[in-house]
Amino acid sequence: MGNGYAGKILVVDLTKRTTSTLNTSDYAEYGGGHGIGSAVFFDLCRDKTVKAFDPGNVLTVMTGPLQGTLTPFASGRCEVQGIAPEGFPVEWYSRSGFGGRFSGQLKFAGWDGIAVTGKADKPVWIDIRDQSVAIRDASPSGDGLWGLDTVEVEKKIYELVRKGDTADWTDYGGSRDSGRSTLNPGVLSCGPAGENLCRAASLIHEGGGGAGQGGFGAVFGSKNLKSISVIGTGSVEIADPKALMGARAWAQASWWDIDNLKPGLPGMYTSRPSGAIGANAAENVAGRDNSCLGCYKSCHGGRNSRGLAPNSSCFDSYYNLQSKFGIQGHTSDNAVTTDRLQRLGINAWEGAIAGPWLVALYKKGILGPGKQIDTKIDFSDYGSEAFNKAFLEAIAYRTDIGKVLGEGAARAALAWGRYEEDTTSGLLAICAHGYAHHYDARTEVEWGFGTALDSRDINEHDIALTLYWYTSMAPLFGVPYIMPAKDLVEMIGSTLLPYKDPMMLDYSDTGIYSDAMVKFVSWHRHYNRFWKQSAIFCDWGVTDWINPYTEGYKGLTPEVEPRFFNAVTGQKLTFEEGMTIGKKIWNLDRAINVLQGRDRDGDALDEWQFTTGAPASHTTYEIPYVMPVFENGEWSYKNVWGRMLDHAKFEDWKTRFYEFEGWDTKTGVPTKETLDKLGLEKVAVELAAAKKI
Amino acid sequence: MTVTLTQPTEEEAALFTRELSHEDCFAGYVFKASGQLVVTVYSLEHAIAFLGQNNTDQTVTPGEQFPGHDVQVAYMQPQALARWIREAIGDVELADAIEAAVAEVPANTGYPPQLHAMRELAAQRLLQCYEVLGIEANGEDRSEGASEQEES
Repeated sequence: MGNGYAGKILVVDLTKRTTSTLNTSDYAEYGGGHGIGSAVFFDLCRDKTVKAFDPGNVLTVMTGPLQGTLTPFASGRCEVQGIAPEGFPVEWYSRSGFGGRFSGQLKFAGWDGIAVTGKADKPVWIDIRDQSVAIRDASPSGDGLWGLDTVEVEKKIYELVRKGDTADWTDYGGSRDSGRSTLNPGVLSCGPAGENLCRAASLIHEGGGGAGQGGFGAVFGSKNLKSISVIGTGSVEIADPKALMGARAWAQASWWDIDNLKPGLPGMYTSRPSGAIGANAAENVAGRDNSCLGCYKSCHGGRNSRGLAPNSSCFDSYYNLQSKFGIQGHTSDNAVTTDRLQRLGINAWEGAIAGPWLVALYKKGILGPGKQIDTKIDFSDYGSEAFNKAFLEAIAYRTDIGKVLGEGAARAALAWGRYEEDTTSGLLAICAHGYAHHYDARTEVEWGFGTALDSRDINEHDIALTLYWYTSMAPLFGVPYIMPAKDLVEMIGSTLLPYKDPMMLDYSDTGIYSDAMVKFVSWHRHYNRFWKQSAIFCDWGVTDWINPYTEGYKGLTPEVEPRFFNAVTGQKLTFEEGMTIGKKIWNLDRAINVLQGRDRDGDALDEWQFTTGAPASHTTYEIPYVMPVFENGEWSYKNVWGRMLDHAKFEDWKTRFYEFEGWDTKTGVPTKETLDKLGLEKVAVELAAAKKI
Repeated sequence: MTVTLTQPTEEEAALFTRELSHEDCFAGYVFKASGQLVVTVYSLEHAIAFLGQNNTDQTVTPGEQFPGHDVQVAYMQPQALARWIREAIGDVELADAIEAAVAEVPANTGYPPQLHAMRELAAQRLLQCYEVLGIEANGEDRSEGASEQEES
């Protein structure tokens, strides 16, 4: 009987050009994905203070037990970890994730993950065919992969691995039933942006799956690593196939039943005729339902880009909304730009944040030909296809303005002497750590405070989709709420195990600084660290907190997560036990950041969020941003737009958060007692050796 | 019902279609589940393009099917947009028409009908200006068609 794990982790030392293995069982206490990735990083990265582009940086690409199985929302997910060059001013150790089918191929090949250490002396790619691992020449004189964009390189690798025949069976040795495949390998690559050490370079899989935030594409580039390709012809053995299929049938019938669509809620779920979110095969011949491995949700509808598969569907298709040329989010024109972004391997958030800021500087006469910030790129043409080509290629190839912008908007602003002014006014909308404003830190504080405490924009949409997105979309479309605010927060609050406290969801002016919000942000960090980043449930599938398929709209959380996990692993892990593992991983990550120099001052948000209630521009009108608040003894839905954060209150909140987590309240460093209690004794030893505790 | 705006003079048309300075810009707000984005607009044409980023004009009643996570709303508060058109662009008639049209939208029908009214009037004005100035609207969908581009 299996347990979902392949059992081995591949370690590739690019400097020595050697490979070795780790036993997954030595790390199974972390569950999988990011947790195992962090633990492996901790063991293999001897000096955690090295820079992101130092050969000593260790990059881990990890799956977990659920990947490669029929677990929806999880099978195709993969996590990436390492010291992240996008972080500012410190390249904090961080993570990113992507979907598709790379994770499945890795598992089918017999690997739970890959750790890449060192640096190759010339461009290489890693070619994994089941248990056979080769480090191959990617240079122009070798396989000619270096310099290709992310789609070109995948196609080239398909040809190389499948010996030119991508239509028929390819034999990789072994028997008839194991050892051959009709599939292309799963490929993860950096684009030209990564090769040229653009700090916002993404890792791309199949054109539209991307690990965007963190800049891990540039870590590939710094290691002279173009791609990792993997083809697996085995399978994933699980503990209880019947339980897994039962869970899948239950989830599909209870949630996103594409054969039995229920009336949706504004902004929630799907009601597309094709039955798939973001896709419409019936009315757009170029598009089709498009899912990650094992998932039935089909997020990656084909109209936002023309990648290989899965196509782009998220913020990567969002970059061009600033255009004045009427290019809408789903037109073929936007697909061209989205594909360009993906092919070059640039994190779309970077373009989205830098674009309007640079246009403003252009309009102010600061940027332009012969100006203080000199560029030949025509910013009067912003948003056009010609502009996008020139602008994005400048970043990826580090030419013109891209010489500086390739360092990321934050570092560019610093280099141009504009960081303080523009992040105080909000003209440059950085939320924290150099990462773009995403969801509003002032209103939706679990996102903002979580980001301040973490290493990057947290990008976790769970509560955002229910208590901001749904609650704002309903009035925007004139639709009555499904229930009063009191009932909604009590329904969701009952799932916040082990606390079950609806006050954790109070987004009033006082509620955001309350002890209950301390508890919620802590819960949110632990929940995401384990269930979404280590068990690796997709952020767009789990958490389920409002569900039109169930009685009373009650979502499937907290039942859905352990039900799948236990069916695959054979464990009897409770939701709360998963939360404890999440706390352990959260503290491990924190300790790594502390070794890098993280302290209380590093838990910060950029200043504009304390100085203005307006968005990062000139809008002063009220925008619907409706959330639940508890005021005067009653729950209600209230527009909390326009709120500014308060430094003193935030600092006081941080102190109470540290105390709640078991961290030193002056420094924000986990105490020895806390680490020991979590089973992180060796982490405590390393912190003590570094005189951090 | 959409009013017909007075044909602008050549001078007015040039005024209404000019690109503004950063100090006079306006901003829209894109609601999208994957993230939020403030879009700074510098001209009437740009504002219309922004309003076209909306991917549904659907007015919803309970029990209806409705675009889910992929719904995208291009939000400009109607009164604020009218004020910007009046004060920054200088088109008093269009501003008044937008305010009047939005005021006629029945309560509790939400934002989509308001957006539709704003976009229709602004697009009418832009096409008038193009005509007066002899500018041929290109094939890019800048106005009316924008409402049809996405719904599917």
